[in-house]
Amino acid sequence: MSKLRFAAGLVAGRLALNTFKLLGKDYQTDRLGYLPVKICPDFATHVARPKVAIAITGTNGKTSLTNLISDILKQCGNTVSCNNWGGNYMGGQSWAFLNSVNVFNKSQVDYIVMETDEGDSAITYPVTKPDNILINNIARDSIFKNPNPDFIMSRLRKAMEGTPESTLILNADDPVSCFLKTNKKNIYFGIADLGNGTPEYLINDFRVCPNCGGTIKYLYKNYGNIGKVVCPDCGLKSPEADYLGVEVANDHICIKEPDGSINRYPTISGDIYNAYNIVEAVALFRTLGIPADKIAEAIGKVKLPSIREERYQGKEIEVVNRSLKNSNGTAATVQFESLSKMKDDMAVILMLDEVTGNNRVEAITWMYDSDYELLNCDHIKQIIIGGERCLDHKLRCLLGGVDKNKISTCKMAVDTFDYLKLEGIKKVYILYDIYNTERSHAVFEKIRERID
Amino acid sequence: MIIEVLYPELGTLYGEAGNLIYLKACCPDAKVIETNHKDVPYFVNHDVDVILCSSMLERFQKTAADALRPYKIKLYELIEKGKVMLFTGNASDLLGQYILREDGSKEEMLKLFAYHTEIKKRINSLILADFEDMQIIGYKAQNGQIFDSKDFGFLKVKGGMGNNREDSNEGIHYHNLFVTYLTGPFLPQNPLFMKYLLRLLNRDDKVAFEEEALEAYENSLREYTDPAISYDLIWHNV
Repeated sequence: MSKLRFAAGLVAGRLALNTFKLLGKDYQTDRLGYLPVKICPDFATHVARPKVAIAITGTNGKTSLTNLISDILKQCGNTVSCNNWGGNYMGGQSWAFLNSVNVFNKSQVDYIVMETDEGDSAITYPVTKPDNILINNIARDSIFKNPNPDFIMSRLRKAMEGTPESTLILNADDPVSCFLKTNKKNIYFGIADLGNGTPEYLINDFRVCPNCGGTIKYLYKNYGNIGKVVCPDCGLKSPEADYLGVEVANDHICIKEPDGSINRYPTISGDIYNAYNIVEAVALFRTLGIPADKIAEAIGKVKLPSIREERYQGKEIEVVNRSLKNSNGTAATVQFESLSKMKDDMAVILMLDEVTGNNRVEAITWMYDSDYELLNCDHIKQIIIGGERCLDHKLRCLLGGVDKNKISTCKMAVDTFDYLKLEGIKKVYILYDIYNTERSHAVFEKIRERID
Repeated sequence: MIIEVLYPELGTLYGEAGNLIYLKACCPDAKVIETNHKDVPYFVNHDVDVILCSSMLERFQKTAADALRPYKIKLYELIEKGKVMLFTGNASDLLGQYILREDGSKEEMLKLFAYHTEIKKRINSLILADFEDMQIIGYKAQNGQIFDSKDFGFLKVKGGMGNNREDSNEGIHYHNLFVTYLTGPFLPQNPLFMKYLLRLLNRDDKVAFEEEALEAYENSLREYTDPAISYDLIWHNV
């Protein structure tokens, strides 16, 4: 019966997928992935396996990392099926499997690369059974969605029980997720102390030792709450990284391997969280046996996905349009911290509201999980806030110490451009919620025209 | 002025740090004492003006109750004396009788009030409520629902869920103790209530960034009182 259901799901799914392709329709959609699942709930389990199936999850950065891994594999000459549009629920994952085989269930690709939702992992992993599972980080997320790390870690622990053969690739510098156990093998990645000290942020979800209840001490933080911890009472400490970034620069990163050798790789941006993405990707590829020089060459040819960041350097001013996960204090703090560390005089445009006037009111809880205090620095000359919640953001900025005279607000995100003053500044950063992608891109284009 | 924050290391979830941020901004002379759950609370041996306790991870609720239990009589004396206290989110559960978990197990709480908490399916809800002559706005994200609390209701809910599906009272108000499941930045979101608290503390009731805070509040209030609004919010996973 199960075989029949699978055959019916596969035929229906492939037929629909091929029809969409023939008609030139957008065939990268969760909808097509859900079709075979409706007929055969454990569809992915029966799909012929490629060489390797890789799952990427975590709170922040998984779409970027998924695209990075897929692109590098392709640059290395592999064929890949990937739900790279952010479709990280069962539909998107099922699509990656459906797209990987022909109607006779013959694998047509070398790799399946899946972005996977961390909250759904307990449901999806026992079905998709990834060979490798990469966990970026687990942090406090939108209260609407995956509200606290405890809740997500309970889902991930359950997920691991359902896929005991998977190799886990874990961030040794993320205290929340690094202690996750698997039945088979854990591989750890991390970056050495970059000398940032141990700044305190509003969110710190690993303050109490899970073993003894003692007060956790950070030895260093490389960004946000990503760093090394120890419990002075019972000795619990972050695991040693098998793949350790030992030198991080804007254009390269040197990574120490388990045998002590060090290889140099290009970076995809100067941001520290993308350096972590590179170390994580390298940990995966080296585990899969891909030579370091081949990985380095491939990284040099890939870019961040444009849905996450676009940049334009005008004659004197650079404009950066960067997405920020909605209603997520962890992501906001990381971005604010990144801006605070820059030197150039800049204007910052915030388009961080999800709701745009459809009679739904958006909760503002996350604003007080976000360290707006980091925006209180001399080189940030102007903050323009666009969206339904602009007055709440303004109050939060003021409570964070930002000078009132630097702040402008408008209810329509696209109107932020009208308030922008370019005199004397070198950079404009637009931080946008992913629901504002079109609006932020429109403003980005307007600024681009003006600075040319 | 002394503000004691109980057990911030156990949670301070959902932006509830906002309450302390706003209190500090309104009372710049205030000294803040953050008490770890392994330490003796400052209020036991010293005078304090405000006690705050905010949402925590569920697994820490028993830890917090156990930590406070040796001092519960002192805590109750301070409540009776009219000390200003704000317990938000699931910190509300600590002062009741017990928490009934989904698996049927009971966790004993401080038993200072008659109510108890039952863990049920998670509810996300916007809240519009009355307190004295004020309209209170906010947000709830809760697994716990409070029962047997109606004698000491804090807010009278007009939109959204009260202590439970059948009770339009929200939270507990006894002397100057305010207990509410409204989570997040309750004080900055409700500057009129912040003014009320400042008056209880015998302070000038001008709040920090008053003009901006009231403008944001009135803007939100217009949305919360829109007849078309849906108070119940449902989202994936929770």
